[in-house]
Amino acid sequence: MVYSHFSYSSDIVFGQSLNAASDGMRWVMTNVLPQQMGLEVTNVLYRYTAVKDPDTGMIVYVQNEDTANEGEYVFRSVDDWSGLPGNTITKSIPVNAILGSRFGDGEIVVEGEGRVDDPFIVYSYRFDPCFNPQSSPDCEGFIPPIPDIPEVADPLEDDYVQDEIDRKAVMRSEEDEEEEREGVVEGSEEDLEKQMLEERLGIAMESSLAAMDNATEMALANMNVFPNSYSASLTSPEYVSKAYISDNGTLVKTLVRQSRGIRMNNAQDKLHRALVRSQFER
Amino acid sequence: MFRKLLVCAVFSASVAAENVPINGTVEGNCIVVPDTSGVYGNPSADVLSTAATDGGVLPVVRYDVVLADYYKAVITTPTSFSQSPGLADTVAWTGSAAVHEVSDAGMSAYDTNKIEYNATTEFDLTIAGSTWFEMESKAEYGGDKPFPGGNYTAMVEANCIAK
Repeated sequence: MVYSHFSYSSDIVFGQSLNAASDGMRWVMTNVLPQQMGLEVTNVLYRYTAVKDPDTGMIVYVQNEDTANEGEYVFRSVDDWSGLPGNTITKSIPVNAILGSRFGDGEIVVEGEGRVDDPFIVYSYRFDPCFNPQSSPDCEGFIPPIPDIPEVADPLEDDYVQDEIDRKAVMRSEEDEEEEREGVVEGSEEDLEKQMLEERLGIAMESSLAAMDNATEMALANMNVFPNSYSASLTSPEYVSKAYISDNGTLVKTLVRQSRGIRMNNAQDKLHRALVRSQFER
Repeated sequence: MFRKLLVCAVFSASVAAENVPINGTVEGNCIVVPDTSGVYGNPSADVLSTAATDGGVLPVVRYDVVLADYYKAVITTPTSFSQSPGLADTVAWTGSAAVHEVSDAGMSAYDTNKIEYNATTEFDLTIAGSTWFEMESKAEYGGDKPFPGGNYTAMVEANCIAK
């Protein structure tokens, strides 16, 4: 639904809805009033024609549900036509600046005998475009929004990383404690002596391992666990190959000359193309 | 001396006397507003009528009453043309007034309780608010003669009279 018009007076905007009852006896207010924060309804004007027998009872309600209080009405006008002839009624009812958000669905309800023709209902409203100062940079009190800065994840705050750092720190402190306990300073004479000692111990260890391997091998050999071929050496005979083809002229004569073969191939290709072309030309 | 003074005092008091005005304003509690101008249709040569069926438009007048049950609407339909070509024959006038629109359902009863006499209709405005009245006027030229060509204007008189 389109709203009829706005009129500006200083900062407040005044306006009127179109006929809310143009599509029937019930209407949805979100289609009638602009969805503006702080909008207030100031007046309700309605008109309809009551068609009835003067002797019958008829009551007409023009009303809007109250969104803040279920089962109640934020606006309700009653026309009692009982015992009266029907007529066209026009009513303009001031509303005490009630927030538009409280205006729930509206309706015209007829009780008794008779009907309502040509319903017409218009809501007058007003609102401050700067009710929410952030709605426009032109509004007083507008605060420029601060852009969202993405939070940078500090890898040091990660639990796994922190655990690893702690573990290394503990290891390092343990090594330092060990060195301190041994009283050895890196690069000193004691340190060099220690390194040489470790190298000698390593050589001795290797020699003892090799002697142990030899002893084990000898023991196994004595037990005849291995076949003789295991330790027998293989002979390496010399194979001399002198293959060659003696050319007495017969081999060359049996070969087809290359130029002749090319010509035969060309002739076959030519014949093939002629056959194919003849199929298309048919 | 004393008498003199007294006289002087009396004299001076009489000289100082002033008339003190008391001002007050009474707002109009009944307003008559022309709503729609009527138009005469010419369904036949000797008839001018405001009825819609005759091609005319009914004039409408609105009464705004602030105080209930203090005023009467007195509406008189035309009995002569205020402007017309020269008419050699007599014109027979008929007219009526009726409630056209209301601002309160109870005003619909004005029609039932209205008083008619001559070309005048009286409505008792018992309810505060606005009431729209429409008037019908019909002029028939005498002797079945056609109205002479020209412009015709007639006036409806709508009054709000205190009861």
